[in-house]
Amino acid sequence: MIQFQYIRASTQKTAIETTAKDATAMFIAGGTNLVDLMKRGITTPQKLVDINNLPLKNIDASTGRIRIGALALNSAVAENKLVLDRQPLLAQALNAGASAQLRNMATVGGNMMQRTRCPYFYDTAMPCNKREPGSGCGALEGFNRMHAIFGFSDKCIAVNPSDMNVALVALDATVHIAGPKGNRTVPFINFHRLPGDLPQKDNNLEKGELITAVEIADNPFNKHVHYLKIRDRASYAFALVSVAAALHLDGNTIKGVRLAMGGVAHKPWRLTEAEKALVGKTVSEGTFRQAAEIAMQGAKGFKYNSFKLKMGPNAIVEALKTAAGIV
Amino acid sequence: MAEKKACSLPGDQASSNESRRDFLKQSSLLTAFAITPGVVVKAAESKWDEGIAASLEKMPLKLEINGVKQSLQVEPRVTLLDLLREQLALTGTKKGCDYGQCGACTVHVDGQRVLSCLTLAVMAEGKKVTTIEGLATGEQLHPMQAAFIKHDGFQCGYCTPGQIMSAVACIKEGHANSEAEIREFMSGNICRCGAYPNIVDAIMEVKQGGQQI
Amino acid sequence: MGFDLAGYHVPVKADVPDIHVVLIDKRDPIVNRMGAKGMGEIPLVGFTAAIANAVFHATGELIRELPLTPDKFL
Repeated sequence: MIQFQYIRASTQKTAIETTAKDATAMFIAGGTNLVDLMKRGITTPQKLVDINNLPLKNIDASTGRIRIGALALNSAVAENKLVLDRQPLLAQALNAGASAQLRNMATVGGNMMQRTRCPYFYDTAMPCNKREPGSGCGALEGFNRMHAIFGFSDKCIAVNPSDMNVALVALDATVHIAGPKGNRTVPFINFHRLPGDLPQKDNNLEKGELITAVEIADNPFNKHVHYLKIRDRASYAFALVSVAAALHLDGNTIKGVRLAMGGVAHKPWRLTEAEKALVGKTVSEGTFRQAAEIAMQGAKGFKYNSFKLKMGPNAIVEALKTAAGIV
Repeated sequence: MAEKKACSLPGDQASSNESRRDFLKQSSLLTAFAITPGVVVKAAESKWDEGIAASLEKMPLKLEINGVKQSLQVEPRVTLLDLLREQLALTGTKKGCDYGQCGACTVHVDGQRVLSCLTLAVMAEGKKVTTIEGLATGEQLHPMQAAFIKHDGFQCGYCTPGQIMSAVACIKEGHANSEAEIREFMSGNICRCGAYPNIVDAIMEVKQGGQQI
Repeated sequence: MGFDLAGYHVPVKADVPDIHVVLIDKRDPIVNRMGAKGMGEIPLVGFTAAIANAVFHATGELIRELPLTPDKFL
């Protein structure tokens, strides 16, 4: 690992100022992805600003919302009673990610910031527009089994590896951001970006901006939910395809639904059209199958990931069935 | 800078029985310095005082390891795993993959199981670290260590310290209520010898035994 | 593309079912004077084919290449 200067920030203000004015400075929280990337020479900050002493760990709820501090650990969120009662989909998604040890280190903000696991991004001998803009995309014509089927560009076909993000986009979360120019909020769905011509940018965070919290407004999706993750082994592996499904049922009638997919795009992929098609319908495998077909419109496979075109809709149907309790 | 560092290395006096290991240690350290620009070069470029450069390189670190208070000087880039193994000679904690993919380096920090290979040592400032060396009480094995031996929960033994640290935490966290739950919450510790069923048995026994862990 | 343990998957505990060990309690004086015999890695040859056939029986798909990953069944 290259040498760097390490600064322990005691206030949010100094953390932001220090990072904003130095092009080579980065925040570090859990470090589970950043330290990994630094060891491999993929990310080479010359200054690390440790934000772990900032008071951003709380998970609290008041009327109408749950607010999760950006430094809340993934394991703490997954076991939090408020989260389990009000947003069990989020807890399920968190527990599907990484391992118990990593969940004890990784924070909510850090999970949002994790980079893709595309092997071409990780291998510094390979071309990758995300790691080295202009060098090309090795995955486009290469081994692209894990790659995107939605929203990719000819510059990048990588996917966002997070499970938590899939649940948060489904739950219409809001991201709270503090920055050198003040505070702002961003709907979760607008936080991450599609690759377009700038695959090096994973999200819309500006230099020096810090995620401070994620907020989820109370919703009726606390009963019929399921996070389905399909992976090469039963645990401790990134998703081939994952689906976050939440239903608001009145008897057998779907009053509301939230659907999102992971492992299929550069950002957590919300399935808005499929949601629209489900509202007002009666719960049945046939209804779910129709919605899944709608969800997959516009999907395109590459040489090694075309299986996702079949696995995707099957996963949507299975997740909805489990959420509805008709397995 | 590099020369000065090299001179202060242990085993510097060239003697006839200087071991190959010492030589490798030295030469790899020299290489490391040669390919490491960062703050050192930056300091040289901007004509900083060497004292400042040195203070950027190493930082004071206070933490407690297995009940012993430590006051150390470490470079920020040193991981907790390397600190334990290289600086403190606590080699019970194993380096498997070094990238958070195997669990061999699992230790407890403030009672929580974490991966020491992805923890910067400086980030453990003021914390209590427990490694496999800190589990037994004198000659009395920790119940989990005893259970691993009883159930033959290892073959080559390389992943075992990580498995045991993880297993203790798995019970403390309350994730050892069934075999299925243990299998899921112990999946972050990889074993290639095939000891999984026996490890699960060992954890089940300690859990059901209700001993103080 | 498996350059590390995140890409080259070895099983984790959640993958592995209970393993029954069967000891063949019979002396084998030909192999060595102790009468012991060890199978070591020899059974690996047969058991991968057995699993592939079991999966074929369950799914109707006969996959002739390891590993038997989900994508090969679609």
